[in-house]
Parts: sequence; structure tokens; C-alpha cells
Amino acid sequence: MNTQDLFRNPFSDYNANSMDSKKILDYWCSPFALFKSRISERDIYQHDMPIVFMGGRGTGKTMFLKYFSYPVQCEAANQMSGGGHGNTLSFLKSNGGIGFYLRFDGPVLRSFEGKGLEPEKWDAIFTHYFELQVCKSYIEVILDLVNREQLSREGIEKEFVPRVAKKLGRLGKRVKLEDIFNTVEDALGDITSFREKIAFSKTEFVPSKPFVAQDLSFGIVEIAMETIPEFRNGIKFVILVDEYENYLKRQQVILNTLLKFVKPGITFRIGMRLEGFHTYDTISPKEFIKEGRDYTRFVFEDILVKDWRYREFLIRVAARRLETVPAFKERNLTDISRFLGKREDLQSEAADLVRGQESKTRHFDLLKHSELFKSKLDSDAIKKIQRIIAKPENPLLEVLNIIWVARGNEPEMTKKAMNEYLSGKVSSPLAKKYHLDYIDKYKLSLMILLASQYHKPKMYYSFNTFCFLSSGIVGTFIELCRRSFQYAYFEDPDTLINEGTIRSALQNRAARDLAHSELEMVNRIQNYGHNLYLFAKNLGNIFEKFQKDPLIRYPETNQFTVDASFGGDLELEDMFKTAIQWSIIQQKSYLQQQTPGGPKTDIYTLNRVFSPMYDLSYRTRGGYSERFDASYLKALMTQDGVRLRKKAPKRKTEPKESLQRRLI
Amino acid sequence: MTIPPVEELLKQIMLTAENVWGNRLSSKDIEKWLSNFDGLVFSSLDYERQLALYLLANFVYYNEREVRHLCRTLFSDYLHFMLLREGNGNSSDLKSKLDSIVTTSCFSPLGKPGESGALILYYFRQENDIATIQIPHLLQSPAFAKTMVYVDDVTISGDEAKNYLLVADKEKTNVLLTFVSTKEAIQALRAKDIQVISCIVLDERSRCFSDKATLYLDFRDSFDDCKTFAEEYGRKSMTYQENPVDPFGYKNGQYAFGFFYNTPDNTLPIFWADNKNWTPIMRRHGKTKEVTYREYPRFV
Repeated sequence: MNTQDLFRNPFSDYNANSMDSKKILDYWCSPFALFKSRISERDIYQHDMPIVFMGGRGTGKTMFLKYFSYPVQCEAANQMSGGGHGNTLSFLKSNGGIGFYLRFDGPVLRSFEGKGLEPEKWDAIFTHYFELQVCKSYIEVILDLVNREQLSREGIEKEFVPRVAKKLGRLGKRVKLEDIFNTVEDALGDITSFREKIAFSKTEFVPSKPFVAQDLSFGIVEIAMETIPEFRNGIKFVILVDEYENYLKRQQVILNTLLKFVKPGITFRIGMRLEGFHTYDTISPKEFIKEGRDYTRFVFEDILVKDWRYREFLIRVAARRLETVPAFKERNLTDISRFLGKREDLQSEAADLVRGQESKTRHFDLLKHSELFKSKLDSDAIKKIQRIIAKPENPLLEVLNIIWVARGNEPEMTKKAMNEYLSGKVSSPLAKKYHLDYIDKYKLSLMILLASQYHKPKMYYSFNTFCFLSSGIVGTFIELCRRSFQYAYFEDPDTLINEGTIRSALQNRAARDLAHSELEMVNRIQNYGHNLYLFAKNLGNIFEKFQKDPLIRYPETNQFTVDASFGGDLELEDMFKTAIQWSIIQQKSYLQQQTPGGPKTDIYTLNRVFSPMYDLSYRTRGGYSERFDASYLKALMTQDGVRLRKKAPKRKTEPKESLQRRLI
Repeated sequence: MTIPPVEELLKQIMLTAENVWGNRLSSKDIEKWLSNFDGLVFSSLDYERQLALYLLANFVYYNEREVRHLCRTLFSDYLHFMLLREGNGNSSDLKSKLDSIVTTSCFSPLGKPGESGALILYYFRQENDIATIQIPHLLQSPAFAKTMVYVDDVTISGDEAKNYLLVADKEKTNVLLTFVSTKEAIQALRAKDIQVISCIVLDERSRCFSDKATLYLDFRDSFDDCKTFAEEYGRKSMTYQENPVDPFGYKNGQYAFGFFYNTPDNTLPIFWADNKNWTPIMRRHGKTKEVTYREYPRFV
């Protein structure tokens, strides 16, 4: 066994930008099962309408787009043919298209503005640049197919090259495909040189031949279809544009126009952050792009977070990585849920927590918070109740009993309900209610409350918990696994390697570390970083208050609504959209009622990756949502330590005089 | 400013353990090593743990991947050196010049087979596609070779290289390629007409307890304590060591680096000492120079 592999963290590489084609194939897990019947793998190449894939950082957009790009599909063809190039073209034909992946860094795109040059001129230069970049990627692929002997050089240089040369303004006889490539490279070099110079001197950009929108991006495809027989029958040219949110507003106008007017044989697949469209305008003043008419939209988190198959997907994603470590693969240790444990064991966690305490009954003090007793409950009265509802071997049941009593139920009846539930009396309405409260509604809240009573943090571990914490972002799940494995390799390698498990304490540390580092990362976001940091912190603190409510009146509350007009404050709106773009908050995919019976509105949640910092639930439950008006929202984004402005509505409890009289 | 707290240092070491040490160092190994520090110097175990972890967090470890990278860098530096030496020519004949340099070079380990030079040459050959014909038998100097290139990992004093290369063919250009060297070693060998090319040239800044040590740029307040700590425990670690060295390492080295296959003795002995009184964290495989009595297992 290669010991280097034995100690390799299978979750170390998670940035698709730096992965080569082979690694992308190794780690690729088809998400199409999650897309149900809405889209198939073949549609990526064949569907005429442009498709926009939206998702937060780490949702896998780059991995997705890169998978469909030419180099990765070539690698796939090679692997299928056992290493030869024999069937690359037929493989691409069976796909139904060729993907041309384009990604520009933000600084490159931002270099096409300012420096004393009018915006219209920059528009023209950017269009020229984009057209050349697309053309370069076409020529690169055709050149590669010629070199792989999939296309005839003779045929290409007889028919295709002369027409492209003419279009590019390249003169001379016997022009080769490589000359075409060099011409495009030189033209791109001229633009780079101009962008470098213009910051320091007055310089003019005079290309030997300027290109306007569609000239090359559509024009070369037209020539290819007419002159290359292999491209005639249904192979689509699919332009895969990544990180669309990096494009400046005016640049998006240019690309939106291409999107709107795609021609047969060409289409676009766009990857972008949520709220990544800065504009829907096109060059034509009266035209704009519209979802459904000009493009189809897929939101990764929507699809992932809601679907129970998300878990299966994560299992497969993790398995692909675990399989790359022979020590795990050989022993069939490729199921991440085995390493992490399927679900957390709240009952044991609670028992362990209380067992380690000097006073093991502190949670009974929760009774003092009941409005029924109005702080009149002395320690004798508490002990009296405690004797009736105690269940020391399961502190969670004790906390539930406390809540029942605090809400006005008789201690004896509470005890009866617990006993009937424990003895499995399914027919008893009391046992049913108890079961509903314990298992379906409050178990996690009970644990959070119990931990808070002892000033101990709640633990975050298990595959189920990590699925929730990842909030539909595959990258977050991989990062949670990476950190867990890192701790395990360091702290407890024997258990990891020999037993294939990771202790829950180590998983918990990984989850907490990630929460901290994600929050720190927010500070580094270029636009509004500090505002968003304050926003996340304030939201965390507010939800912590809700979730540690001694009577569990707001179980697992972590969602809110906002005044959609933002009080006309454009900066506030921009900050809020940036928070969505960076997945600090996530918008629920459908409208919901803010409170039961209230009007339907957009609901937002704090990304659950932050939950371990504030001991919040890792789930999102419906029910109560806090509403933030514009001024309060602004305070949350600009001030530290913002408290809840008003008290949350209280749950009604029926006062039971007899109970009060007997106990107080 | 004083050095970071234990938790922060452990986190830093864990990151290094994953990224550089390939997860071969676990917290158990660290705990075993930390048990060497028993309050002898500062009576506070916690403080001594902190000092020890700070030194460990600053230990530079070269794993196999990095050793291979260093081999490639050395070869490219060698070609560059030779090109400069031969003077500027027309850039169009660059390839033929490089071909000529490569084909008239012979590569040899510095030291005997079984020593580190031979191991490095193995990686060097693989990484730079050196033909086996260019690797003569020890101390042979083939007629076609204009340049004899010797390969090793470290030369700190230059003594070993000087002794070994006493028999080098003086008619030819002799070059020593090492991953790590010092200015002193380079000068001493140059005086013997041996050119030294190294990826890393150590100076006073690299020595843990020099006044110029970069280790304490941000934590000057901890300098004296760290020095006393390393010196006292360095002495203790050598008490039962075969072939003991100075408390700060061979010839007062004061270095804190090692390779995946061995740790030089110029490195602080608190890292590598291995005896009944001391548990190492970075193992050193010393050389046994004489045949000694040994016990064999019952079944060989």
C-alpha cells in the first residue's frame, strides 16, 4: 500500500478552478437525477434556449460547466477508448455538442472601464475582445481535433481556414490553421497591451480589423457548419460562460444581447452567483432578456436543499473522493455516512452533557421562566415538580416535561404522557401528543436549551447534521468533511484508518472552525464586506436569543422577512443583494407566510454554516419569521451588537389556577 | 509581543501536518515529544509546551514532493550557471548550447552509496531525465565529461564536501549541487575550485538563536526564554545520545529543518535526539562509521 495515499485527505481539493480535466472527471457526480425531469445531460448541449445556472459560492457551478467543456469531454473519450484518440469526434457527436469554457477574472473585466476613455469606446473594445476570445476557443478546439486526426487538416485548410482568414483580415496565401490561431492571439495581445498602456499615457486603440458583436462568436460557427462536414449534423457550439457576476453592467448588456439573439447551432450556458445579473438590458433600448422567453434559470441551492436526493448526491460526491484513497477503497470504506455516523444521538449527547456537571438538575430552573409562576417558584416548589417529572437517564425528556409544566400542564399528567409514550401506548392521545412534541417538533430545541442551561455548546456532528449545515452548497459539505478528516488524521488517525470512523468531538470542532472561518471570510468580501460581517453576526445573535427561549416559543427560528422596498435606500438594497450573492443569507424558493395566517412574502434564512457559532439549530423550520423594516435592516448591517428591537410575540398559555395554587 | 498561545500553535501545526508532513505527524506523536519537557527550565509545564510548540511550528520540513521540486530547480539553476559561465551568445543557438552542457556533464553523488547524496541523485535523475550513462561509477571521471557534477542535500560547513572532493579530477569543472548550503561553505569550496549551486543559502537569519533570526521578528520578547529552553533541553537530550553534538546542534548549527528521509545533525537536537532520555519528533538516522557488535533476531 502506498503510505502517501493512506494519509491523503480525500477532501483536500475542492476548487474546480484549479482542477485538471482528469480530476474533474474523477470527482464528477452527475446531478441530473436531482433536476428530475426538468433537464437532462443531453439538454446541456442540445437545448436551444440559453440556460443560466445560479448558485452561491461552492455550489459546484464551475465544476458543472467545466465538465461539459471540450478538454474534459476529450479526457472522457480517451478514458472510454482506453487511452487512444480514436473516437473523440464520435464521442462529441454522441454528446450532441462541444462546450467552450470561458472564464475571466474580475480584475480583467474591470480593466475595461475608466482611465479617461468614454464608456461607449470601452464597450466596443470589450466586444472586440470577447469576440476574439470566443474565436480563440473555437480555433483551439478545431486545431486540437486536427492534431488528434479527428478532422482532416487538408479539408480544414482548404475550406475553413481561408474563409476564417478573410473574416479576420489575415492576408496571404497558404494560411495554416496555426496562423489563424496566432492572428487571434496577436489581436488579443494588442488589447492587453492597450489596457496596460492606457493607465499611463494617452493612447489610441486602433485594431487592424475591429469586430462587433456576433462577428466571430456566431460567424465562425457559421463557417464551421458550412465547411466542416463533421459539424453539419447536429453538433451544437455551446459557449459556457462562468462567473457572469464578475461582468460589469455594460458588459452584461453586450452578452445579454448575444443571449437573446442566439442562432441555430449556438447556445449559451451561463454560471453565476445568485443575484448575478446586474442588468437584464440588451443593446437595443426596447429589448431586455426575460426568464422563460430568452433563457431558462436553475438555482442550485433550490434544487439541492429541497430534495431528499441531495443526501444521496452528497454520499456519491464523497464516495468519488474516498475512492481515490486506496486504503479506503480497498476496505470498502467509501461511505461518508459511516465515517461521520448517519445521525446525531441527541439522547446520549444530553446524558453526557449532564453527567459531566456538578449540579445535574440545573435545567429545572427553567420552570422559573414560566409566566404561570411569575418568579414565585421557590426551590422547594421546583423540587416538588422535579420529583414528579424527573427522568434522569434522559435529560431531554426532563426538559420536555419542564416545558409542558411551564405551559400549564399538570406535572402528574405530564408524567403520565411521558410514561405512556415510553411504554409505546400508540392509541393514547396523550402519548401521541408527547411523541409529536418530542420526536417531531422539539427534540433538537430541547438539546439546544439544555446545553444553554449549563453554558455548554451544542455539538454538531453526523452526516445528517453536515447535510443540513451545508445549506445546499456542496462545497460547504466537502469543506466540513475536509476539516473533519484533517482533525482525525491529526488527533485520532488509528480510529480513522482502522475503523473508518471520526469521533463526534472532532467533527464538532471541524464544524465550529468552519463557521468561524466563514464568518471571517465575510469580512474580506470586496463590496460591503464589513457590513455583511455585522449582518451575519447580528442575525446570529438575534436567532440565538430566539432559539434559547426558556419556553421554546420560537423553536429553531432562523428566518426573516424584509421590507422589499428597502425604504428606497439603493445602497441598502445592494448590500442585501450582495449578502444573497455570497450566500450569507439564502432566499427560500417560494413565498411563505411570515406568521401563520399572514400574507405571503419572500423569506430569508441565515446560512446554516454559521449555526455552530451561535448554537443554532442546523435546520430551518417554518412558523415564526422575524420582520425587519428598512431602518432596522440598515442597523443590522452597520452597527455591532444590535438587539431585537421589539419583543417577539408570545405564545399563549392557558393559566391553570389549580396548578398555581398547589405549587406556589 | 510574546509567542502565540498553545491552541493557535497546535492548529498551525495541524495545518502543516496535513499540507506538508502528509498527515504523518499526529497529536499523539506531538504529545510524546512534549513529554520530554518536564519543567526543568521554567518549572511551568504549560509555558514549556508553548515554547516547544513554537519551535516545532517553525520547523521546515521538506517532503518527497518538495525534494523532487528542489531537484528540478537545482538542474535548471545548474544549466543557467553554465550558460552564464560560457558567456552570451546568439539566443538562436541556445538549444545547442544547452544540449552541449547536458551531454558533457556527468553526475555523481557526493559521498558513498548508501549516503544521502546517492538518494538525492536517484530523484535528481528521475526528475531531470538524466541518462544512466551520465552517472559513472563512484569517483570515475569519463573522458566525455567536461563537468563533474556532485549532488547532495546539505552542506553547512563544507567539510564533508572538501574531504570527499580531494580526489576530484582537477582538469575538469567540478560543481556541487545541494538543496541547502551556507555562505561559509560556498566560500570554502570555491577556494578549492569547486562551484556550489544551492536552492537555499542559509545565513544568520536562518539560525534560531542568532541576533538576526527571523523566528523572532514578531516575538522579540520570547527570544531569551526560547534560547535558554532550547539550550537546556538540547543539553539534556544529548545526555545519553551516541555521538552527542552541541546543545544547538552539530557545530552550534541552530537550524530547524529536515527532510522526509532524515534530519541533519545541525538541526536543534531537541527535535531529533533519540535515546532512553529523549523521544524525537523528527527522526534522525545517524551514520554508524565502524562495524560494531550487533544482536540478530532469532530467525533471520
